[in-house]
Amino acid sequence: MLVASVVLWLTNLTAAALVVAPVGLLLLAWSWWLVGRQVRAIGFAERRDDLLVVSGIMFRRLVVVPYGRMQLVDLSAGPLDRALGLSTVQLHTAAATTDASIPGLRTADAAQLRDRLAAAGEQRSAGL
Amino acid sequence: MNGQPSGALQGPGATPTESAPRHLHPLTPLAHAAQVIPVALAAVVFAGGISFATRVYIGLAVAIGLACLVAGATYLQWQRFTFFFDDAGDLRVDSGILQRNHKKLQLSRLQSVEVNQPFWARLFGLAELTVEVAGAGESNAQLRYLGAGDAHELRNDLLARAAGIGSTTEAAPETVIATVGPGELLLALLIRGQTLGLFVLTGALLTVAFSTGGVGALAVAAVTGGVPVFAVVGEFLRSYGFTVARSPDGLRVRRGLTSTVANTVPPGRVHAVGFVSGPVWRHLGWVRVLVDLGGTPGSGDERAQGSTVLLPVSSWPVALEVVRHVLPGVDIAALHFEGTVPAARYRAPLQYRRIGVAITPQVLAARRGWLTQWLSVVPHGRVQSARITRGPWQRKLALADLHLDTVPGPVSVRVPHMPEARVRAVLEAELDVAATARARDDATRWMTRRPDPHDTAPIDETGGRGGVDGS
Repeated sequence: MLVASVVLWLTNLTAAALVVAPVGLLLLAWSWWLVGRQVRAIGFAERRDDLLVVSGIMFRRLVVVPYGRMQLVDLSAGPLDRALGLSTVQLHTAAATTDASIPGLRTADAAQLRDRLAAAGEQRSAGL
Repeated sequence: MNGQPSGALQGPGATPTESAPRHLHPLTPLAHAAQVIPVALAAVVFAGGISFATRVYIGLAVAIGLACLVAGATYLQWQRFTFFFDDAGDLRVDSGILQRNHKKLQLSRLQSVEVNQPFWARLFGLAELTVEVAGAGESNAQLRYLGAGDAHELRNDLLARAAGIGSTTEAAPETVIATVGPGELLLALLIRGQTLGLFVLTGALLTVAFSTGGVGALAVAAVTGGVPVFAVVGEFLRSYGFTVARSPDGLRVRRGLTSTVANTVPPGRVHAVGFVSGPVWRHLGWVRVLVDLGGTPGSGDERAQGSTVLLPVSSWPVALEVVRHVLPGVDIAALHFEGTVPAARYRAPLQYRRIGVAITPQVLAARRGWLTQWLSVVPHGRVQSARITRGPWQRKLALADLHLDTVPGPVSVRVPHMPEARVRAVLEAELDVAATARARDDATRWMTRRPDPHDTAPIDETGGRGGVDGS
């Protein structure tokens, strides 16, 4: 929206630009606030036998993965993540529907978490 | 089973020795080549252009040429393809003409052995043996093709070795516990809700098309009428002659009309069982039984889809009898379901009465659905992870959905719209029993595990045989 308003201003449609710009600013502020809330809604807890991950505001989700069921712990970071020093830890089980990921961890913390999870998984590992 | 007791029968505990490398059946290249002929012929003949007779001649020439090429290539492959049992008792498969590929299939991790007879192999009296071990991706070997008798002998041998009772080519004794006759199967498929629905829609569209003289409706009718016909015919061909038999190494499922499939489901491989019944079937007391199996080959494999069907259609008593063998010690008829709270009717007005969850020492059972009703059962030791989800409307009513994740398959275990506090309590309880169940679970070498009264019961030859008509 902000880009659009700049384009409008440059093409001498100043009146339109004046309408679009505030809307763009409002949207930016709203999504800033929303993303902040969404990030705060993400949480995880390492319990004695399992890992618990919560997320979502409107549609809330809670996933519990027993350490004994983890098949793989993934650590990934996109280019933007890397620039900010962040990583995502994702857990995989034999079920495709598990979907337990913890985004936005500091890379060092994420690596430690992954190692702890892998160790816990090895201790309690069971077959399929 | 036509397995002949020909091989040297080793007693339990005998040290396995390396067997001589064997080739596939010598007719293999011919069977591969024969498959090419009709396709090539049809492609040329239906291509159009020049006169019909010329097209037939060209088609024949192309087809025979291609068939020779295929035969030559598969002959080279056949020459370089051998398999044997190594001194550790595992199956080795060596293949490849230029790039050699040596595969070792650890039989202690055996998931299933299937003997299939695709249409073309069947014409030559050949069969294809698929050996699958636990693990992702390339964890299987296909022996294409063996003689039908050889394939069954090798299957028996593999199962005996995997079960830890040495090498034998004798088939384990088995008792048929359920069959589905062709009449019942066809009727059941025709009166399935979705088939009937599409047929009614087609009828309506045809009426419209004929009364208004429009052509558009006719085209749509061809689709709505064609889809169920193909679905019914396809399923009929796949499930024709469906037989479930009990044997010490698991349930034997045999099915198929043009191509026949025989697979054995070891008890340890069943991760979840689902009973599905649509609106019409329910009135007749019919049900379909599906399973989630560990170690199923990747999705998109047609045979894999078929092998998750434990019974295409059956009466409840027969279905329960079959499921008793894959979930030993679980009495599904005696489950006592705990329903949801009346508030759930504001979120799920139709299905809220059906929603329920039951927990026994071995399994968790979940019931849901109104038009198509589901009953899913998962052994505690097979739960991979658990989830709770709550939408905005559910939160207003203090409701939540409980999901238990299992290996990929047609059965999903879900208890929708239960009171929030109760869902949390069930989840914690489930995690607790699942942890204990996992600890004592041992799915490999199932024959040598500690005796289970159910598995070791002598097999009675007069055992309950039944089908849809039998009740």
